[in-house]
Amino acid sequence: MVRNALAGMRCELAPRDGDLRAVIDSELGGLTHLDLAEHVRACEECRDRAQALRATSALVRGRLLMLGPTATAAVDAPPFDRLLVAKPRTWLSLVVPGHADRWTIRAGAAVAAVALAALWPSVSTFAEGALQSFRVQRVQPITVDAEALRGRFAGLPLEEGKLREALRYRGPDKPTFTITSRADAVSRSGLALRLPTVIPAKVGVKPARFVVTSSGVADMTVDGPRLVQVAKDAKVSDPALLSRIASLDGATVKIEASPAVIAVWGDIDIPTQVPAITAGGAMSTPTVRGPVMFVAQVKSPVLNVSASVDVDGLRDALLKSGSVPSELVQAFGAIKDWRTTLPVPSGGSNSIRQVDVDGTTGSVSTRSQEGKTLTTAIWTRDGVLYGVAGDLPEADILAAARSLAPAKP
Amino acid sequence: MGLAADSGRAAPGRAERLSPSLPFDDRIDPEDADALVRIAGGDTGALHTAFVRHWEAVARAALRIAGDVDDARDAAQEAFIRLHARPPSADTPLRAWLCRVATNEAVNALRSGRRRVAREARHLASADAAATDDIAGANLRAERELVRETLLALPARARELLVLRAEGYRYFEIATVIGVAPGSVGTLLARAETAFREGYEARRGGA
Repeated sequence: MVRNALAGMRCELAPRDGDLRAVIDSELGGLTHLDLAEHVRACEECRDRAQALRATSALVRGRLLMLGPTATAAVDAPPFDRLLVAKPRTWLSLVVPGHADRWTIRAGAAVAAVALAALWPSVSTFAEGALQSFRVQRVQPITVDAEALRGRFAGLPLEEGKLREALRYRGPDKPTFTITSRADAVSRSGLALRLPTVIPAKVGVKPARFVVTSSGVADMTVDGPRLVQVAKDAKVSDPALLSRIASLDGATVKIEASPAVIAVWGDIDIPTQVPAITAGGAMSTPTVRGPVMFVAQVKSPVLNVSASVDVDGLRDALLKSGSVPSELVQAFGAIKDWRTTLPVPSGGSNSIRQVDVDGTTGSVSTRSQEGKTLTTAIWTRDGVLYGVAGDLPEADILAAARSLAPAKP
Repeated sequence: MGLAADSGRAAPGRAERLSPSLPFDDRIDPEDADALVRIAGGDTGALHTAFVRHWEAVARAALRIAGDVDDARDAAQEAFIRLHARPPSADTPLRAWLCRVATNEAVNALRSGRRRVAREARHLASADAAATDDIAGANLRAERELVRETLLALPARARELLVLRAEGYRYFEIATVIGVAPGSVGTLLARAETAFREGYEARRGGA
């Protein structure tokens, strides 16, 4: 520690950077602000820290304000009427974390799994044999506490931006969702749509609405040295794993998204009343007024990787490196055909088990939360990944899942 | 530098004592709160009022990110479309919410690069470039590209924090629209600023 090296002592109060930062903006409320501001004046160490924070803050603000706008550039407002006829284009709030309240995210968990999987699918255009492919043929529940894991990963200094650079990622950032008709959903997805013939009475009061995810292509070419740096930043120190990562330099990964179709039943809609939700969920949250059920389907995802990559070796090195939480090592280690198996994580309080559904083996998970029970079933059949989810009893979800039949035109 | 947010961990008991209590004047504009209730009820008059009231600020924020008038208009418009289709709850600071949606849309447009060719062509002829001499204008454009590149490389939340703060929004407004605890805004902001600075300086050095 360089600071206070002369005095040979450290500040006793040791305020957080965040509090010092808030003091600079006069955003640390009331007496706390006065106390800390006074302390900063008296404490050399804290003064230096506050000064450094202020300098960084000023640099950032200066750069951002430099972006303009210039006096010559005014943005004329479009005609107001245009807003009224514009249809909502996206339905991010359904599945994308950060855009919905927690309940909705969970209600969409199976849908999310399917939609995100849609970003990892087939690339038949690449030369056969030049690439290794991972095609999902089955799903397998793995037992990990998703919440706890998220907490552990959230603490890692892993930056999306740096990772994106290290992978030279070119592609969509996130799926978009379009609300559309069934016929349009079929034509966009190219799927022979299958829908349940048994629909729980609780959600069957209105016809289903259809949501289609966007399609897109993502290319990645690994920049070995940068990826090693990202790994080191994320506290990976195992030399065997780092050398594996370095050897990925130049490897390519190509992902092509097929659109997924999500059919939605139940009373979930654009809000007509202001929902009494807290600030955290305020962004684009659809109101869920009653039970809902989602049925999602997408062509099985395939991820293609250069033939030069020893993927088995990489996976083994990763699992042995000590960088992966032990519960994950155990869970992934238990998957035999890992190249063709989509792991379906379950939360800490989830119960999850394998079931017979739609002529194959799938997984069904149940989770109770805030007085509701969320059930999700997920499986693959004939190269298509299916998910059914809702705040309904397991019997209802499975009955719907087992009744899928080709949709009548 | 000791700038990393590790000082709190050194003495957690002490740091807790300093948890910020927010000033009492952190209130949502009652006019906006009323508008949100009415918009949610399908009142297009309320939507129009909000549109007139906030368009300029929202479009200006979008323009900062987009750097292109047409992209900025699309992004700001999208924010109002979303307000119409899925209004946030009445306790949401409306302008900050619109600003977040619009600037995120602008970022998406930049990423997709769908207008890049048109934008570059327009830059050459823009009044902005003509107003300054060629070298200074080129430097300014290069600098702006650098800033945008740095912003785009940041994680979404860090970028949103920096953008909303640069637009002058208060901590409680930022906390509400990005969905974090008000007391954590200072910490997240300090981290985001450090990340921006590092990214910016690395690019600058490497350029």
